[in-house]
Amino acid sequence: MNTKLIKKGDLAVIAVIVAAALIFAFFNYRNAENPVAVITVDGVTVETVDLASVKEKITIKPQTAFNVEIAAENGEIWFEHSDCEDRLCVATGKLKNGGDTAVCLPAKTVITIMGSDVDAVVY
Amino acid sequence: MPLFTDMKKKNNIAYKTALLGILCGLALALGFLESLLPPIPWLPPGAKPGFSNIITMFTAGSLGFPAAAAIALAKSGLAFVTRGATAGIMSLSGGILSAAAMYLLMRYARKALGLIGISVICALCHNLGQLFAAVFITGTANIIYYAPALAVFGIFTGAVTGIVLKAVIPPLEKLKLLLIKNK
Amino acid sequence: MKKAAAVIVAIVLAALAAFVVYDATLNKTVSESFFAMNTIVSAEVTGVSAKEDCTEIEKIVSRLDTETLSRTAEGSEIFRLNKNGGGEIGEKTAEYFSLLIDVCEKSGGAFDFTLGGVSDLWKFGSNPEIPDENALANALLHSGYKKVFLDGNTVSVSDLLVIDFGAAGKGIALDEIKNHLEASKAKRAVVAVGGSVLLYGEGEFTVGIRNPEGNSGSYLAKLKTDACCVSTSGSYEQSFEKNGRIYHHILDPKTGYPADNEVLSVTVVSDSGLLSDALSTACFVLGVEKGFELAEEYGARAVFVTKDKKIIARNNIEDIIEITNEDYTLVIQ
Repeated sequence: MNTKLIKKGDLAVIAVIVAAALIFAFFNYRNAENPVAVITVDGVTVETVDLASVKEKITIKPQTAFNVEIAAENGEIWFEHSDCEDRLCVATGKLKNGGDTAVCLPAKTVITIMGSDVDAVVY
Repeated sequence: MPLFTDMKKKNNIAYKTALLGILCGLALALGFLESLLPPIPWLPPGAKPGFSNIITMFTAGSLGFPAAAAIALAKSGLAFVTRGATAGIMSLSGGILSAAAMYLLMRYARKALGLIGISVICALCHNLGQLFAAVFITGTANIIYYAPALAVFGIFTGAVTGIVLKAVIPPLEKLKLLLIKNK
Repeated sequence: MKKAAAVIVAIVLAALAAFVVYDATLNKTVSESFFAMNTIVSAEVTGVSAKEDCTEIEKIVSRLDTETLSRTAEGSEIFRLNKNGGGEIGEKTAEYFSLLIDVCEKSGGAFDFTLGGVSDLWKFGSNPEIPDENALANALLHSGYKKVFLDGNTVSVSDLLVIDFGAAGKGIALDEIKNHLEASKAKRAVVAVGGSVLLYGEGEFTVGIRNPEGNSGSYLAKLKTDACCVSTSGSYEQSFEKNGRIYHHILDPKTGYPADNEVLSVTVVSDSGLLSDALSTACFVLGVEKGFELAEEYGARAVFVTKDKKIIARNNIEDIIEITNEDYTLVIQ
């Protein structure tokens, strides 16, 4: 069996992947000083929540194929409940940093934390 | 000496079908075992090491792309039945893309890359395929934020798959020879 | 050769590291939030003295509350005015006083800082309830900015009314914070006293206007602006429901009841924190048309969100507003 387990080319491939991941992460995960959670259902943004100004625990029930409940508190947001079959969305846990994402595929619902495009929310 | 005994020349349909059936069973069994693992922290739940890729890779290398695609199809069929439509679509898109990558790399990149490199790229293609499917299903590009974490995870699982593949090639080859002898 | 290359690489790396450290100290950003003036104050300051600035901001707000504005803290200027029915006030407070009297006059009484007795009856902030009609009428009788006179630093009051700077207090805090920042080395700062925001320093800022029907934190439009103060008055902020009617905390000085018109919220942009805060309340009571006129009299800009899902602005604000909620349409008057 002469096929080697590892060759120099392998290391190059791994190095390129790590570099690409780091660059991607650098450009996407910074600028999250005012995190906002963007909730989309089927590609449409249904709610934008400025996490810093959420005072008391809030619950959001987006209109989806399933009964889905999203909760936010203390600068964090998460899938509280879902009637979908795998509940991977609930298992994802709480999101708070830029780039954090939770997906409920059956409900086509995505929560992503982005660096806010606003400095503050007036109310 | 080639990595895998090239079966195309043998041109024996019955033999190939039998081998494919056994490999298919192995892939499904590995996939099932994997589904028993708890979610891995720091990663999107649903991200799995992809041990059944060991079988898909071996198949792509020895029986060609159609056979590997058939295994991917069987796996996604099982996912569809047991875990629902979305799981089926995710499994299919990831499986087909990684099987294609495996076949092409086994054919054309064996000189430049070792087993680890090939399986790392395959793991990445698997994740990428799933990510694209998820983007398609949710209609949101936002989830590509998962890409870096998945890429790094793919490097680890790809490397593990490569090492395991190296170890299981001899017994799998024996299985093949056994079938030839009994022909 | 190899040595030379290594030396060059080392120098470049060292220079890079030095620059990063230098830049990090100059543009250090510190965020802090604390509780003062019965609300959350959050400050984000960039500059060499960012940490000290944040500490100072906290002191400024709590001092302003306990020494000047609070109606309940014994010894505050407003407390003493109410207790003694007038008296001497500090120079700065006199300035705020005369500005607020001016807003009362120009708004034709839609803004009135003498409604303490009336708002007490509503008990907003604790257990809100609809007050007894007679009690309300009586309290309304004993109010009115026309009964308050300012002569230099001396306030005299011709009735038993209760002065309450609540509708402008957050804005006054923003002005005092701005004064401090101008004297400090801060380059940029975003300070929110409750829902009123001070944007200070270089560059452009973006402010979200709260979605009246959404959760706290969700916004329906974005305002791009230079340094300024932005305040919003919204009927959603403190309200309660009784017998199918919603009662909110923005009272019409003419009736003593919550201002009842097409407005859900008004956002006012002004260089002055006091004006942005006071005008947002006045504009809410006045409604869209008169509200715009009042804001423009002060060189301020207003954005109304109305019950029929419109965001109404004048063309002086059109180029800096962007709607982010599809349910609402932008109307430029």
